[in-house]
Amino acid sequence: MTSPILETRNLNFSYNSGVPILHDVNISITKGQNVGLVGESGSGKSTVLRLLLGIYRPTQGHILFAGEELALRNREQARRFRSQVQVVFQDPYSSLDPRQRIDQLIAEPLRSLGIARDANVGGSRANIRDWMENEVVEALKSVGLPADSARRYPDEFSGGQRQRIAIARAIVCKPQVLLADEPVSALDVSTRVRVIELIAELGATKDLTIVMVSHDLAVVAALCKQSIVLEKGFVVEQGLTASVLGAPSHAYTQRLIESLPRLPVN
Amino acid sequence: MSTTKKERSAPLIIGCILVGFITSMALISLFWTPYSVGDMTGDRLGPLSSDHWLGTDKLGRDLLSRVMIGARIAITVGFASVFIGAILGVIFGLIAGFAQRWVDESFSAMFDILIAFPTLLLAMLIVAARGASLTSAIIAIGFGMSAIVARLTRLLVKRVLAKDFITASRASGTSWMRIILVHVLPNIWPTLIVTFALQFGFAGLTEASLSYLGLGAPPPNASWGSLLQEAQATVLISPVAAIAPGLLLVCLVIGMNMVADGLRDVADPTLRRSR
Amino acid sequence: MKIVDVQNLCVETVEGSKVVSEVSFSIEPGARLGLIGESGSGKSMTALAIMGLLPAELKVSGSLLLGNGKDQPVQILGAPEKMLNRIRGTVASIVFQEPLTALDPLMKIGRQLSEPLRRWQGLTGDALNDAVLSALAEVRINKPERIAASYPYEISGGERQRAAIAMALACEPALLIADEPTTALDVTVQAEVLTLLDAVVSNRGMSLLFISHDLAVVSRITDHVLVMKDGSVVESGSLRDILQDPQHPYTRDLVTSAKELDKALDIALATEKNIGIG
Repeated sequence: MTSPILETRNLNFSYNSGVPILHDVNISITKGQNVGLVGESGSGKSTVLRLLLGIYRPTQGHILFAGEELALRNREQARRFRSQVQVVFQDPYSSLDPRQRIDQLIAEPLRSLGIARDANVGGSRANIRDWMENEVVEALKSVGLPADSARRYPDEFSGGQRQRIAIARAIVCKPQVLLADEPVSALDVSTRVRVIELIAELGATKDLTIVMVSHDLAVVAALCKQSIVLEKGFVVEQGLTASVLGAPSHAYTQRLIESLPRLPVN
Repeated sequence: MSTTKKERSAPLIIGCILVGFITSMALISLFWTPYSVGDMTGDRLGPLSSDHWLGTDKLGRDLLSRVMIGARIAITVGFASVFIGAILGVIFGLIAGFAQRWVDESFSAMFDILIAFPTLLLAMLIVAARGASLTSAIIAIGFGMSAIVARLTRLLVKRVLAKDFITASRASGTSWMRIILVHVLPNIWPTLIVTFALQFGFAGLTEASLSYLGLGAPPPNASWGSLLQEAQATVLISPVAAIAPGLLLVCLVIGMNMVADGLRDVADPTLRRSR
Repeated sequence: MKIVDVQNLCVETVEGSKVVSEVSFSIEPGARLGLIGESGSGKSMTALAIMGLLPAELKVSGSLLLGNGKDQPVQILGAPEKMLNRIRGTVASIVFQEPLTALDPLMKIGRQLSEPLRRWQGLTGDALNDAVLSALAEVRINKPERIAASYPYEISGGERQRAAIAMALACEPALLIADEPTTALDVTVQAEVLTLLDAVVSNRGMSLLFISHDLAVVSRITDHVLVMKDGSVVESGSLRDILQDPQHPYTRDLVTSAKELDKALDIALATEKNIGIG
């Protein structure tokens, strides 16, 4: 049993106004075990994601990254953390800077985290640029977009393609964990399935562990081995997706499952 | 597509012609005016003639020369006050945009107070302190404008910061400085440019009102505002003396408005690349 | 007599691109029709056309007859605004995805609801008050008094959508158009609102045009559907038939996608049970 990449211990969070959002959340993310954070609006699921991303700071409790307390003021740890934990958001129209070209956009982590520099020690500026260009094309390829997308701008792409670009940006620095906040709920059904397949494939081929926030149990069932059900800031149930969905022990989980719209059985 | 594009750029072209006309008058006045501004070279209130294209004023000074100098003053004031307004406004707007809670609230309150404070009153205070001059007028207008720019910048910055791409950028370890340069400024710039263009026109208008009240450049300098003031008493005898500066002022404001409108379309990234 | 009869409806933008092209369908009194399509398929435009709510700059052609089942149906296309105003709410009503757009943010729910009731049924005073409360009770709002005294922003999304449905039903229309009415809601609330819509429409014997991108959601309401893509109807008939044997490539894609997600759920839901039995 390997130690978890990310772990929370008695995580509490409240906004400045004092309204509590999360109560004693304990979760752990181990390599290769995709996790689905399930809940409805107000459950605090997106807040958990932002805490795991280090964008919010816990009011109480701890977040551990590779066994050590997450302290992003420690620059060395921050760099390691940022290159290991990346994120994809729900709204593909808000998650890409409309003024940046796709290659600049995707290369941002390589540049900001100094990865391009480290990979080309002693290389000239031109070397670094070529190397980055190469990585960008690789990332585009792995999300199923043509190499010439690099020279275009976000508004030339559809919602599904934008989401692929956002995923390319997230995986370009070869992270271990991909945090995904409702990555497919803004997409049309057929596009949705394709993006889910892409995420599943990347998870399998790139050694990527996916932590996905979703209100859609079908998406979680398709992607995640583990599920955590949140209700009003409390974890009400967690475990293997098959057992959480197949034999829900909490009344709220049961209600969620009963409410699911299903296709008629022929 | 080509027709709609043409339609869209029509205001920009007309605006550029109007503003270009005034700007060239101002530029020419740097090297040449028909007569020297202060010289009484003709009859008092002389009519339009080949010697004096726009006639002369009540002291016999050539009106065209005075109007040209007026253009120079209007353009100078426009540039200088937008420069001051832009620098102060963008800097304070950025600070307020990034600030949270009480810091943000105090900045906002400050901007609101400054906006509510009449530029005219501000100008009077500055004139009282430094004496009436073009610089005083520029400082007053630029300062008043900075509050408007700051409030807009703050709003735009907050809007951009709420976007997911900023969070994604932070999650990629990008420094705040770089986020400002690469993500925030390029995204708020188009709207700001439009505002600067609008404010440029208004600055000319405000300067004219200040000069009209005697708070602008002192004589013999001829701002359009002071020309209008001088022409007031004799407007029935010599209407051109009032019409010429008045019309140019209108051209400047409308022209800059059209430029602003045109820039808004050009700055729209979805239009920019769809050819 | 048909409630809605749409023939060759075309909607074009100023630039000449067709948003809706050659759409024809009709709904009998008390019947239900599901309109399925993804974003940009023209389904919402069709709904707006029936209500006579299309933006004026769009070019519309074809025929669109709307009736209450008793009087002679009227032609909606090209009808004067005054007539449309009389029809809206009393013959056909619409519920949108986002109830906040349908409710006036500055008016208490009770007052908003009382306005159509007063105009339509001529109620005043206590009778009007009672009518408002019973309208809210009909959409299964637990504490009608509290909701009636609240502003839209003070109540939950589910309550807002119920209030919007109550408003749409106030003037007893013959047709209710529901445009993605549950898409913005949580799953549990969605299930409640769907049950509510189903019941209310049955009780009143109304016709229903239900618009959604979600095959599973539509199947809760009706089996009779129309699939739209890029402004045209690509397939129509029974949802069960379409799920079993989709004809158009687009429908096939849609059905496969929906089934794939459904299957993932089935597997997850079944695994543990099987383990339990075994």
